[in-house]
This record gives sequence, structure tokens and C-alpha cells, in this order.
Amino acid sequence: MSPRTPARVSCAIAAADVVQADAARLAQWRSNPGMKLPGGALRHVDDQAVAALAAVLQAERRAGPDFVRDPCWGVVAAPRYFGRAGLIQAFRRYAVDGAWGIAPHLVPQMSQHAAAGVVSQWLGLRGPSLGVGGGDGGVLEGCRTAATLVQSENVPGVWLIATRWQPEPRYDDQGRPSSDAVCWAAALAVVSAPAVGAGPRLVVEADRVVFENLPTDIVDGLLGSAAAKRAA
Amino acid sequence: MSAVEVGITGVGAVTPLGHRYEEIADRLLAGQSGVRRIEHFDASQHPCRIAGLIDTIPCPPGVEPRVFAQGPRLEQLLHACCGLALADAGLWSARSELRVGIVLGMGAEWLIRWEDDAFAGGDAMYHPERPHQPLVRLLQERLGLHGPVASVAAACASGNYAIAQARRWLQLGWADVCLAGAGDLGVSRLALAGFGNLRALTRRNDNAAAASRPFDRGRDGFVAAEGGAVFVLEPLTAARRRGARLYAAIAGFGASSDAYHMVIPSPDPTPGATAIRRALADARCNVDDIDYINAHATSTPVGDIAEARILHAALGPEVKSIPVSSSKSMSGHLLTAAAAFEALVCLIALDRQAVPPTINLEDPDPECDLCHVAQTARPHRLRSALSNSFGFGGSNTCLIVRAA
Repeated sequence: MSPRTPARVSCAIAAADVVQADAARLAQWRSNPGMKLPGGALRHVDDQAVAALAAVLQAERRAGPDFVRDPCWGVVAAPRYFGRAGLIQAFRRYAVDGAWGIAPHLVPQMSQHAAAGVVSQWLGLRGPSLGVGGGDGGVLEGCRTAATLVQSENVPGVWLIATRWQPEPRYDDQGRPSSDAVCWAAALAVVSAPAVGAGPRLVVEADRVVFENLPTDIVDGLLGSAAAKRAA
Repeated sequence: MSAVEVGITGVGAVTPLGHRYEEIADRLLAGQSGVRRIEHFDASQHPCRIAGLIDTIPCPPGVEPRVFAQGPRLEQLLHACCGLALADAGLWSARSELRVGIVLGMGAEWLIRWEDDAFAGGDAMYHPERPHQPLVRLLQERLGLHGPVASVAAACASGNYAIAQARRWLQLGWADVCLAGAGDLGVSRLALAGFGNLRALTRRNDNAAAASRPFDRGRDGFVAAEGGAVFVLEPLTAARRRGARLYAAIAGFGASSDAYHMVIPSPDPTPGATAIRRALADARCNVDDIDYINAHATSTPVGDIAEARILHAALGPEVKSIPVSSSKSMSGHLLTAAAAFEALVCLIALDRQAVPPTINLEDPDPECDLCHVAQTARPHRLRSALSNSFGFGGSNTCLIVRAA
């Protein structure tokens, strides 16, 4: 086989922000993550999906009035250890009540796709919507996925979202996280753009991900651990 | 986007219809069901007690059978699919000289691991801080590969996203070869209970083989199934140069979201139809180029009607002349692995020049007015096949494969 020269995919970042929340803040976001929602809209949603939605809304606001939400955009979300609280509760309920004790929301709301699905649903985004990763390093898989999606002519932009708890919480019997845990969510609006230019950029190669001109607080919020930064 | 054409040169599959390509093909075209009573845990209190099940997972090349059998079952499943696919492509011994990417659809990798561990008496779900690698990276190590990796999750549409992403990586030159597909072990206590309480599953527990009945007026929910399918993708020119068997070319892919509801399909067929139109445009083909449609059709009352409307909206009146079937009538619904398995069904249809049937379709629902291939396979000249896969979260995907 004759190797081809690998392409370098360079995208512009049109908006970005990071949010963090403890359990009390997440409870507030469930009723209002930054936009009006029907009552109970986020009742069965995992905390990381709530934070993902709040991060996108805050990034939109930070970008200012020039940023217009486009319904053709896609969503790529990379939550870490998503659905753990729901699984712990389900396991306890199964031990007590058997199969009939399991909430019907378990699979649709606790699987890896759900954070992206929640953002697509409530922001009316009809482009591709998917989860990536699942453990450590998922953010880099998300960068690779988002960059290759915006390469496609049908997707003008993608919200790339990374969420995680730091530290990972312990959960009580009601599924409440321990008070030392903070839920982080970073959202980047990744758009197709010429290969060079001013402003923040995401540059992806087969074995490398680079953020150019992106504020440090957002890179930190996105990547979290020092190990993830080294991998990028 | 580069015009590099990408084909499939290897298949590795572990499914309720068998673990070898020829066996799966024979059973599909014979209209045999892989659905049976659940026996690996006590399902007697579950609303649904049947599923499409896999037997002992075959040991792939390069690993001691005893060591392989000790690994977690999800790891075994995807290790087997990847190793068998590489061997089938004739690339097993050359794999370390190539940049081999891996893109796998896994909808709930960690939930499956933690649930298995918890029912075995472990406490891993309480301690995620303990070091353990994501499965794609573990497999990369086990298989001795180097190249980019990713796992993607779009519920039942995951496999199509994985194949599409691998195709893009090859077009970008990020890998020489990619392993792409999906695997799921969704027939677990908690998942089965969750789906059951969602009323998504059939309650026809007394006749397992007749329970999955897509498009039939008597359908009452899907039959959950487990399994996986992984393909070797490589540029067509490279595959031809080395004389590889070409199962098919990946001709087109399209995706969209309903942005409507996390579970219920949109009553508006436009988003689903958009995914199909995007796939047709990507494949540079017209409706009359499509010779077979492998429907997502899971056998739920709402979903099958929604898909029929989507097909009419996307393909117009011509849809009435394109053979349609749902292989889920035989395999059950492989959940995250469904799209990958159904891509395999399309390869089989192209290879055998026959359309697999929708078994149990005895009384077609008039609201699913399509060109059904009911009960028995139909010999048919096929050049291109289209596979729909839709998922929770409102994901719509469509993959088109073409004879290479």
C-alpha cells in the first residue's frame, strides 16, 4: 500500500465557553439552563447533559449578537462516565423492586448519545448528533469527529461539547453527588474555515489535536486533566 | 472532500444468526429466526423474556482461547469482530505495517461494563477513578495496531456513523485501513427492564420466532438482541491492487436529527427524509439506482409507520417498486450494533443477488405501504442497497453500499 499524505483539518472556533456547577447549581439549570423550557423538560436528564446545554447557551451569549443559531448544525458531545448516577440508582431499585422498578428513561437518557441528543432537541439543531468517547481521552475523539464532520459539505458547523465531573462524585441513596464534586462542561462552536486565519482554531491531524488562539481557561475546561493535555 | 472511493474488504461478525459470513447469509436468506428464550439470567419477572442471543463468542487470531474467555464479554465481542475482520481481509499478518484506524459504535460501553461487574459482585461503578482503558484503546493494544481511534454513540444509528467516520479518515489519508462497526450487549437485566417498562419491547413471549414482526399489523414492540459486526474499510484502489475480495463500496452516507424527542420519532418525516436524500446525493445516485432498502423497522407500532412515511417523503412514488425488508424480523434488534449488522445484510444481498425477507409479515399494516418482501427471500438483481438506521435522541442515518 502506498501511504497518502495525511490531511490536516483546520476549523475556526466561532464561539466557546466553559461552565462549572455543583449540585445546587445543576438543580437550578434543570428548570432554566439559560433558556425557557417546558416544565420538567430536563427532569430525567443526566447532570452532564444539563451542563452541556448550559455551556452551549452560555457560549452563544458570550459570542454576542453576531452569532446566529443555525438549525443545520450538528452536535458532538464527549461526556465522561455518563449515566453513572442513573445506573447506580437503577441497580439499587432492581435489587429491591425487580424489573418493574427500572425507570423507562434509563436507556434513552443515560446512554452515551444522550447529552448530544438533549442539546439537539432543545436547540432545534437538525444536523448530525452523536456522542463520542466515554472515558478519559474522549475529548480528543470528539475533536477528531467534529473536525471530520465539518469537512462534509452538509454540515456548516458543529457544537463540540466536553463534560465531566471533577473529582468523580460519590452518590448517596437518592443519587445525589457528593458536595466536593463539580460538573464541568465546555462548548466550542466548530465551523469550516480557510486553512489559515486569525482567531481561535481547532487543527486536527491523524495523531494530533491543536487548539490555536483559544483562551487557556477554555482549553483547561475542555481537556481537564494534564494527561489529556499531553495527549493533545 | 477527496474523491477517494472506499470499499469493504473484510467482515467479522458475532450475531444471533451465526458468527461466520456464509452461515449468516444462509440463515438470513432461509428466513430463520435467531430469537429465543433468555436463559443467561432469570428474566421471569421481566415483561419481555425473549431476545436475539449470541452463543460462545469465537476466539479471534492471536490470542490464547483461555485468556480470551476470561475477558469481559463486551471486550470479547469486539475483539472477536475486529480480529476476524482483519483475518478475513487478509491483513492479519500485515497489520503492524499499516496505519489501522478503529471507529466503533458503542452506545453504553461503561454502563455495560459496570452492570456486568455489579451483578458479579464488583463495585467498579462506585469507583470510576480506578484506572481502566476505553475499549477502543484496549483493542488497539491487544490487536497490535497503530492509527487513530474513536468510539461513537448515536443509539441504534451508531454503526452507520462509525462506518461514515472511518470512510472520512481514509479519504483524509489518516489511515491505510480502518476497522469500523459496532457491538452491543443490550440483553442485560437493567437494559431489558428499562426497554420493557418503556413499552418498547414485544410481549409475545410464547412464540419467540414469531415475535419480531416489522410492518405487520400485529406487531407490538421489538425484540432486543446482542451482537456485533465490524468491517475492514480501505481505499478501493489499494484493495484492488492487492487483489482483495471486495464485498462492496461505501457509496453514500447521510445523517440528520429530528430535534423533537429523545424517544418518539418525529411525526414530521422531513428530518428522516433529509438523511436519505443526503446519502443519495453523497452516492451521486438517483432513487431508481436503489435496488433494495434494508429498513430500520424495529416492529414497534409507531416507529414502522414513521419510517414508511420517511421513505415515501424521501423517495417519492418510486418507493413502491423498490424491495424493502427488515432483517430485525430474524435477528431481533441489535441496538447499538443494528446499523452495522444491517450493513452486513446489504453486503449479503449484493453478494447473493437476493433480498432477505421480513419474516412474520402476515398482515401488512396499510399505513406501511411499501414493496415488502414478506416471508421468503426474493432473487433480485442488485447493484446498490440502502440501509436506514434511526436511534433514540432523534438520530437519523442512511448508508448506501454499491457493488464494487
